[in-house]
Amino acid sequence: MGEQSGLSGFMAHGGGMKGLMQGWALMGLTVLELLRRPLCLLLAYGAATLVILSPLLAVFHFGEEGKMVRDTAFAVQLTFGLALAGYASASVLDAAMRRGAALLVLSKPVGRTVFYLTRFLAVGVVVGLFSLAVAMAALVANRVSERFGGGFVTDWQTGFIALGAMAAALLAAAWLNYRMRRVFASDAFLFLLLALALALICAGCFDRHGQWAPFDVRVEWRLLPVNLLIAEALVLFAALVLMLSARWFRQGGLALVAGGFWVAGWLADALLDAPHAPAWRNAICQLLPNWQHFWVADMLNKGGTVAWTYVGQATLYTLLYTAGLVLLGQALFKRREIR
Amino acid sequence: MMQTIQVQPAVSIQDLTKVFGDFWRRPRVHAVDGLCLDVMPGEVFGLLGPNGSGKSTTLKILLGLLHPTGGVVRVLGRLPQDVAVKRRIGYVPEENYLYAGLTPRETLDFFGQICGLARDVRRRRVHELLDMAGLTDAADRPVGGFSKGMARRIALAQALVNNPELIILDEPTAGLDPIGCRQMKDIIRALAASGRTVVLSSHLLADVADVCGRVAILFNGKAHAVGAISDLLERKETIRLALPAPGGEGLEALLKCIEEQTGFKPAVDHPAADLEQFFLDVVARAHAQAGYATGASPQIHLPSFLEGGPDEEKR
Repeated sequence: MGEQSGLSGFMAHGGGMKGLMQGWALMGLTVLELLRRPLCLLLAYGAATLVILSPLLAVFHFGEEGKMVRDTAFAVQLTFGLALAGYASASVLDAAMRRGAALLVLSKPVGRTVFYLTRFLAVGVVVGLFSLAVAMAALVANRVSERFGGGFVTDWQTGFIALGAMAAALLAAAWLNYRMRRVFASDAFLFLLLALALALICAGCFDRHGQWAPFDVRVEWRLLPVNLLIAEALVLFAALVLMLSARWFRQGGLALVAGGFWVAGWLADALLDAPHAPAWRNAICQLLPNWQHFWVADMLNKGGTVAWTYVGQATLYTLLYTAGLVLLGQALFKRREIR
Repeated sequence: MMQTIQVQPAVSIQDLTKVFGDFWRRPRVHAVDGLCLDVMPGEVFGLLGPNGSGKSTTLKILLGLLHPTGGVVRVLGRLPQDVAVKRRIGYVPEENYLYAGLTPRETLDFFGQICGLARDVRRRRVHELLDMAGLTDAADRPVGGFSKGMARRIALAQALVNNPELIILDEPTAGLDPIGCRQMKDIIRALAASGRTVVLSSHLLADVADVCGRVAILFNGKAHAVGAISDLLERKETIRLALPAPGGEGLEALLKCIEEQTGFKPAVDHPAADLEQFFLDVVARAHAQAGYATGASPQIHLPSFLEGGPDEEKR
């Protein structure tokens, strides 16, 4: 009789509600653990600050300020998010096993499948929160570089309100840490989301002269599908790193192999997918995660939009690919020894 | 007609082998080599041995954390990899692998939650376990700031939150002060008295001798001696007498008489007081005078939910 895993392990725990409670507790604690890491806070704050500063600090933009701000926001989300997804995925499994946290949890009636799945979901939640922060920052930054007729005018007031709100979030977390000994990093991360939401509401409701205006007119919602697709790429990358760390790779080796997959995924179309190419090249091309599907920033040029049907197809690709990686990862993790 | 009742061992290890391999899967270390043991229900069993003798590896195999290379292991009649059996086991690891950001209350609640305990049961047990660990006053401080001994108490409390049938303790007294050691031993005795099985590993021989009924002494992954401590240590050819010290000539006469009877000159010394007991008495007096303790409280009692049988038996 082998380990009860998956649904049978879940049921062995005492049925649906108890299993859900267990999964919820494991995921909640992992999310909290990640949000309490200073590096996660640093990446989220760094990304949001860079995005909001981009229209304020731009000196030369050759009439392309809107594009520059948008592309900066997406590039920042991708690069900072990549670091966050890689770090979070590596730390929730590989580092948790090296530190012994996994040993204590797996000595309880927790199946390895449930453990692995909750770790992945926790990373997904953190990547989602990070992407939400950057998406809100991108909407604010886009509003700061407001378009008027043929040109752009920088709205300093909105920019400073957003930066001020972010600074206030840090101060509020510091105050709570001082007064109530609460954990600074997680509070600051959550306050950052609140501050950006407030800044976005201000940016959407008032024009650069401080006059009330309908919310919808001033917010470029067409940015959101691009943010969403980048978030999906990050979740996919997180699933890949988690799968690689489930058994085969650790620390330096993990970073190297994950980086290799990242580069190969970008180059797959160019190197492997050609008309009349041999079947093995096509097969490798199909197997590699194709990050090109998720970078569609150029579609927004000249007032363009990303079709929701495309977003739906990309989401389906993400779901299927991620499900495959999670299944493979949990199968590998089942045989991993916890020392 | 006599009817014999076959009691199933709580832990059964038959010809257990564990080999750790290198990157190429070539055998590197034989951590456990043909180990055979049975631990009966209600027993306190000690695994003794120097560092690297295979104690922790054996315990981790019992928990399904490591996979045996060979042999058969049964824990409470099931394979260790069976998730359901872990509901009936409590484990205290060698190091305190606790979540530094959580308070003791949150830590115990979390482990209660993953053991599937209902909210009201968790609340009650957390309260009692904090009381048992002497950490009620420190219940809302993050565990990361605790001393090693205080963290050890939380580690023990988390192992008991599910009211287990089998308790596995890896170096349970490591890092504890003499009060903590004594409390740990008292808890182990109380758990055994309530019918639970305890398997512990240690290289602190005095602690093992105090609590264990039977031990196995491991070296290089093999059991070199297994049996009841009294059987292993008793020197049947020697006796010890304890009596009020007689006066100078009386003692001489007594020794001469014994020498004539046995042919051996007896050794004479004064029994010393137990340092552990002396220490505990001094601290108890100091605590009574001060009325409080800045660290863990030196008083201890087993939670009421552990006084009955394990959860599985109550069902």
